[in-house]
Amino acid sequence: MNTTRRQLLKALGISTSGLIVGCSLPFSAKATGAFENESGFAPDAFLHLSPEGQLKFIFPRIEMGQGAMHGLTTLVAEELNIDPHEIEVLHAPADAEHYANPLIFNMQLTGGSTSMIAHYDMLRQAGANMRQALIQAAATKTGVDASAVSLADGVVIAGIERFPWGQLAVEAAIKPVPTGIPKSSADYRFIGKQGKRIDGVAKSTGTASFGLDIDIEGLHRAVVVHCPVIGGEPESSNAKEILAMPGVTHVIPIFNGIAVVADQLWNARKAAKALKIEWDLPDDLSTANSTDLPAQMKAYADREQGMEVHSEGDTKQAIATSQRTLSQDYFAPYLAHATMEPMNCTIKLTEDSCDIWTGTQTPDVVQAMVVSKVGLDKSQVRVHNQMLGGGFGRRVPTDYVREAIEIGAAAGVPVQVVWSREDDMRNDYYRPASFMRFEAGLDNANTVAGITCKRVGPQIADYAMEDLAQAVTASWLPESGARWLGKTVGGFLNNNVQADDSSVEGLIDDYDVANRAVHQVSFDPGLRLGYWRSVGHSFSAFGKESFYDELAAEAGADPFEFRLKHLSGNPRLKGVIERVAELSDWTARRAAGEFIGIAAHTSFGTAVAEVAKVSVNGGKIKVEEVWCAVDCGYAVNPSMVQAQMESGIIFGLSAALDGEINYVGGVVQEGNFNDYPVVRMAESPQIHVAIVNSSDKPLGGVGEPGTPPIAPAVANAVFAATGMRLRSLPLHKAIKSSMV
Amino acid sequence: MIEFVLNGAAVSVAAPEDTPLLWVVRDELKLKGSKFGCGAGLCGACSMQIDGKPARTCIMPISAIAGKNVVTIEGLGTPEQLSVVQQAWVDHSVAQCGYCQSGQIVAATALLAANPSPSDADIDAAMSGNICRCGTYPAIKRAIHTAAAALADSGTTEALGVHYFDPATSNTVEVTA
Repeated sequence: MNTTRRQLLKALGISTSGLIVGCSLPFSAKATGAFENESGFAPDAFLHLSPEGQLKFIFPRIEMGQGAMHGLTTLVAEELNIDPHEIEVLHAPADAEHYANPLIFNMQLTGGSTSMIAHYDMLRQAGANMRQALIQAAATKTGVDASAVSLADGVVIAGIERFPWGQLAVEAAIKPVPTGIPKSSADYRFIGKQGKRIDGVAKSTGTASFGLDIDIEGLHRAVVVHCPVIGGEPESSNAKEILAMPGVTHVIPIFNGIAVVADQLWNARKAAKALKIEWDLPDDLSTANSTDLPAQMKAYADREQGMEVHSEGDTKQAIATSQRTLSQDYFAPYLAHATMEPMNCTIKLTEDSCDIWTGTQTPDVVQAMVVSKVGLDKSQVRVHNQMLGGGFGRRVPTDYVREAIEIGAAAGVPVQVVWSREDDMRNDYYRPASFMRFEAGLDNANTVAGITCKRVGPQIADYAMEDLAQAVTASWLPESGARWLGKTVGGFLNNNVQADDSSVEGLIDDYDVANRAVHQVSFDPGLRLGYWRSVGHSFSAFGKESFYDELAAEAGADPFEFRLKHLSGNPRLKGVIERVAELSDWTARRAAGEFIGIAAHTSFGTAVAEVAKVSVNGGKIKVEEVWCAVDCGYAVNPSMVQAQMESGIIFGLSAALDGEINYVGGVVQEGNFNDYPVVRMAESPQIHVAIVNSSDKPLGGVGEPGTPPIAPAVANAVFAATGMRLRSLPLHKAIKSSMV
Repeated sequence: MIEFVLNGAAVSVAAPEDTPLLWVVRDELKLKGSKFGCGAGLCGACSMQIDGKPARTCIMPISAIAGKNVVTIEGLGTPEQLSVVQQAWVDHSVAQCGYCQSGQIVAATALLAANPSPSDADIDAAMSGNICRCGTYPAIKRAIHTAAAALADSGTTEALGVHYFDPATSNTVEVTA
């Protein structure tokens, strides 16, 4: 992260100091973090053993389906030699001091596929230390030498003695915590093995609690009527009439709309339908139409040089002296997250305390927002983080929390804000639309001599800054002031100092090309942006892997062989592309004329290669089968890794085939699953996953990396089937245009 | 007041009669297992069995439920007593975020009640009404095949749910463990 951005974050009150590296945790024998007031043995902020023998683990991240809860619990279960299902696992409270993500600016943020690699060493060490402490306590208690003491499923084995480990809790708590040695892989009982995920029973019986399931005494429900153009504010309305409707208790104007509060959700919803509101619309966005995007972006690409983001060697020279050159343009639209659970937030606010129940990827920012808007102290604000019914990056921004705070403060009763599916689809932080112009030169050996990409589009960091600024600025700062702080300062940085990495990542990496460059041309219609599963890679892999396929064709080479030729400097990606070619019988299927396409991409520390097999009939693409090879370093839970590849592929496939957010006069047109279709069981391909372990520990995450390769793999397969190059997403729209 | 049978017990609700069954079950009767996903009958997260058939309760006013038998995910099984479908779900680690899974399990249970040995094509047809944004479809398919095999072994459809609707008697019957 560059210095100026670090300084901005500091100004906003977000600490960037104290990077926790490896096992240098501040251990103490005193209970810390969430265990502040509990008896028993808590060697650190993560683990606690009660005198009754119950082991508790404070899971520092948030579970959103990605399996990090199961994964991180597996680590401590391994060191303490107890089945993960026997451990009581709780989500961490808002407490960045103890539960920060060391890989994301020490914020308490879950994202970037970092949970496993961020906590792998520290949690294994924490577990080993606790084990050592218990062994030493047992040695003292029994007189047996520590080398003859072990722990097994909550039982202490000391020579011939056996007793429950809870009996050691009080003794262990008063001694300094020793340093243990993490287990050797030869002794693994859970790590690297198949296991059933620990949240499976709750999620299969309807007993897992999500934000929307929270229900407390006196709870009112609120529906917010949002401005049809994001960023607009209400000017006037027929609020007085609405207040008289059945069950309605409050009608409250808030920063982005008007909230109707009622005794029951259905009464609030009916009343909200009757609201008539005059809006003050935002200037830029309310004149923008998404149909203009491809042409506008192409015009910018033709006209603007843009800011150089990355440069190696001399691409001008390399391309100018090439045997053959190729240039192609690719386009990807805005996309919605469409988590299964619409946004919601429950708040109970009194004069001296606040409880928030919601699903969030940033509980510390939620707490900071309450503190700054309401004036309470951090110690008075409790954030109860709930399982997310899908995250994909949507739960990083805290807009829906801000709504609850404003409504709760004005209403003076406990309130649950419930978004409809339409609210959710139309008030998202969208995946940015992107235009990518690739250019490359092939030398006389048919290898890529130089490659450039000019990416045209808006930058995510502008909006992330704006959102953060909203969270930490006091309520007296006008709306426009907070927005200015974020957009202008962030925008200045992004356009003049250094482009936002997350908006240009993955465009020219992976392959051995000495001369390469990326330029970023800023173009922003004003639709709010956010982090969408795999972020920049979600569009850059489509551009890069489609372009490499076209280069292969230009070189008269097989797409797999061509890529392989350029991977000697990238052993992990080489490993997965070779494995997927083997898994899918690539060469034999190609020889038989099957319609298959290949793509390989590294993101978030993980290398993934995918092959897709399609059939195309009358403009309808059916993805029959997908083969996937993944190298995340080491699979702690192989079944979780497989699940995340299946998940990333299907998520990416929805976007690849049909995903598109349109706007007219800045009003998002899509609203529900009828006009924003997603893959269902019948469209879901058969998926084969092979895991390649290139290390003895995890090197990358798996939540996002399965997504980037699927769109290009399918587009490349469609080329094999039809001879048509589809260079824009979604593919069903592109194929229709190509057929006209 | 509207009266109906919920998971084998008679209930009476006071909500306005145009209130969708989903919100009555969740907010008045406090059973949170059935979920809200779209409010338009498109995603299946709200699925419950009504007189033995899966239904979209987010668009079903309670006036239409009077006198009927409703079975929710809570009626199919509990953490202590999983139905055969739920056991297969747990064994295959099907759920990721889990939000859609109550509806998926209701739909899968209805499929197996009607067709104890479904093919992949049968599963596609029966399960395509239920959206999963986490992409658990391949795992769901594996779990349904496992549940079908377990059902075949047990020789009875009782294992499909702790409460199940018996069309012969038009009653919800409870299976005693």
